[in-house]
Amino acid sequence: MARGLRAFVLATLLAGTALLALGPVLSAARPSVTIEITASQYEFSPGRISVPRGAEVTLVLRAVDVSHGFYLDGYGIDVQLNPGEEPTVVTFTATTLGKFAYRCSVTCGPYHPYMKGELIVEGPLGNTVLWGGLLAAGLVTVGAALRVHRQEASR
Amino acid sequence: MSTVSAPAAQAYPTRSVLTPRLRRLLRSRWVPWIFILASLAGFVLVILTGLFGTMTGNQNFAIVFVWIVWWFALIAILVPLMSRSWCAICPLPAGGEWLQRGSLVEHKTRTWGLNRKWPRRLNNLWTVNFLFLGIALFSPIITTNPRVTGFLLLGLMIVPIPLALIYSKRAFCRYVCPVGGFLGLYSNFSWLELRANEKAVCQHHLGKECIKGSVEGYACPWMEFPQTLGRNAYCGLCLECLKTCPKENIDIRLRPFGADLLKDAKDKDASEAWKSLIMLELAGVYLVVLLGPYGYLKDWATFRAGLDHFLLYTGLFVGGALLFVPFLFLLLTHLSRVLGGRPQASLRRLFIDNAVALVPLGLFAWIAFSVALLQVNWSYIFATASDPFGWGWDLLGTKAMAWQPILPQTLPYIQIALVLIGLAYTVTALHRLSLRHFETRRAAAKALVPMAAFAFVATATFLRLFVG
Repeated sequence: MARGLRAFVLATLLAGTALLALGPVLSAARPSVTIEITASQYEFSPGRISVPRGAEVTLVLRAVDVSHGFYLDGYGIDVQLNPGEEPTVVTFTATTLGKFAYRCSVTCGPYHPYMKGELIVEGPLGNTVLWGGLLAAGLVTVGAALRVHRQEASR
Repeated sequence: MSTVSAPAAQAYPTRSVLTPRLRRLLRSRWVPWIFILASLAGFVLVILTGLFGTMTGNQNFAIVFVWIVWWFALIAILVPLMSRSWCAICPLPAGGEWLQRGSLVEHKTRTWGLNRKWPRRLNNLWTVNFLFLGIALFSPIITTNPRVTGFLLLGLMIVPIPLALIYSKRAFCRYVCPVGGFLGLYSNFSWLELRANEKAVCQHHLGKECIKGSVEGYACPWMEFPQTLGRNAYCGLCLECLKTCPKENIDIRLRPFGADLLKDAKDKDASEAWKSLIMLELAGVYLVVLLGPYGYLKDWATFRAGLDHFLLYTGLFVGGALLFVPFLFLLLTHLSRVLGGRPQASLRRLFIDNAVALVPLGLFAWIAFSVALLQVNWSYIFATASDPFGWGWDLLGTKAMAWQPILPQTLPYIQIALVLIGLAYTVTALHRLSLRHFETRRAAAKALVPMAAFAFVATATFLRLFVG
């Protein structure tokens, strides 16, 4: 990649860092959130949950057909859920912005590897990581076009 | 590594990787035959474990090896760095080719079979496109059911045999293989190329062993003419031309990524443009259906919700790939030529060139998809290598390795970075093409807007799937 593109990548990183830095400044309260999630072949319900950054999150987890697992990326949570048993309760603080998959960690049938849900940890501006990514994509688009334009102009 | 000056017609710098010793080694008829034998052994094991092993996909070597290891190696390593090197060692056409040649290793003059020419109307990627879509439609089942994977690979090893006995050379690889289609397309982006060094040497040499064959080797099995070979798309790196060229004028060299995206070629046609759009769309579809949180879509795609929902899924899947996305892209291409002040320019030519320029974005989206599979499921590789059939063996002592993704929280950021790299290369290629097609820099910049907007929206869609 040439200098022009490198400059845009740097600008993107700066913009992303600024967006991420706004999170702790603007989020003062630490709400508590309780969400019930059921696991069945081959989905979690709800499949997508959103919580504010800093929230104390309590998940009430239950399997309704066969044994499943619940593995949450980045939070070290991995529990087994068996049908007919009391719900499993896990609690954690949503400290980091972004999207974190929760996956079935117990082989539950043929489509087990594709059984997945998504936890979105939002900042005061919503899904900051997505906005940062879109900003970066915009900068890369314009940057790549400008780079070619300048190269042609200098010929 | 020795450096060669770029030939006059070459628009980019290259660096040869062929030392005299390596050239001698590659001229041996045992290369790549010995690697084909190794990959054949691997695929036989895959077929056996697929057909006779456990039905639990993530405990079966066939599923884990093919859809995690092989797929990742192909799309993320071999194609970007080594072009169609997989085709050079692929075991799928081996049986047919050996029968056709009547020889395993050594060169023989007489070939077996009817030696017919491939039908002219099928001299494109449409067969590949339809076969690939047909297989891709059932991918949720294929990638999780060991029997289906086993039968699919067995079929892909059997089909080339009659084709090799009816048609000349590697008709299966060039016109039928559903894997070869996207390998060829994405190899246009690759870092590596095989080319004739000095075109003048070829022009003045009347022997033309590269297309006639010689005692050293066969005529190009891919039906290419090395003298005019300009793109990686249909060069299977079988090295026959390297063996037969008495002038040592065939070179393997490194080059900038994406060098073939801007080239004109007779075989760069609408079927290749469709291939590019199909692959781009499918990367998004798989991220939603396979790796997304929507259980109902998985039920639609696997018949679990009934035939009516599967047919709806089929309509959306095939209609999106063959009609909706290409039609949208065609409209934007038309808008591009209007904005660029050349409404009379060939819409077909612009459409094909611009669609092929989407190759980096599609390739990096597929790498992002494949990284997700590997980063989350890597531990299955060691478990199934130790117990390939799922019969309770523990050959390597790693059968009990627990499922443990590697830093899965980093995955979205890796995926963002990958797709942005693809976007940068695609917009660069689109702009360079625009400069070629339109008369002034200003007109080219205007014409770029709809095309760059398409690439941006496609990227934004991927970002939404990765982190949204």
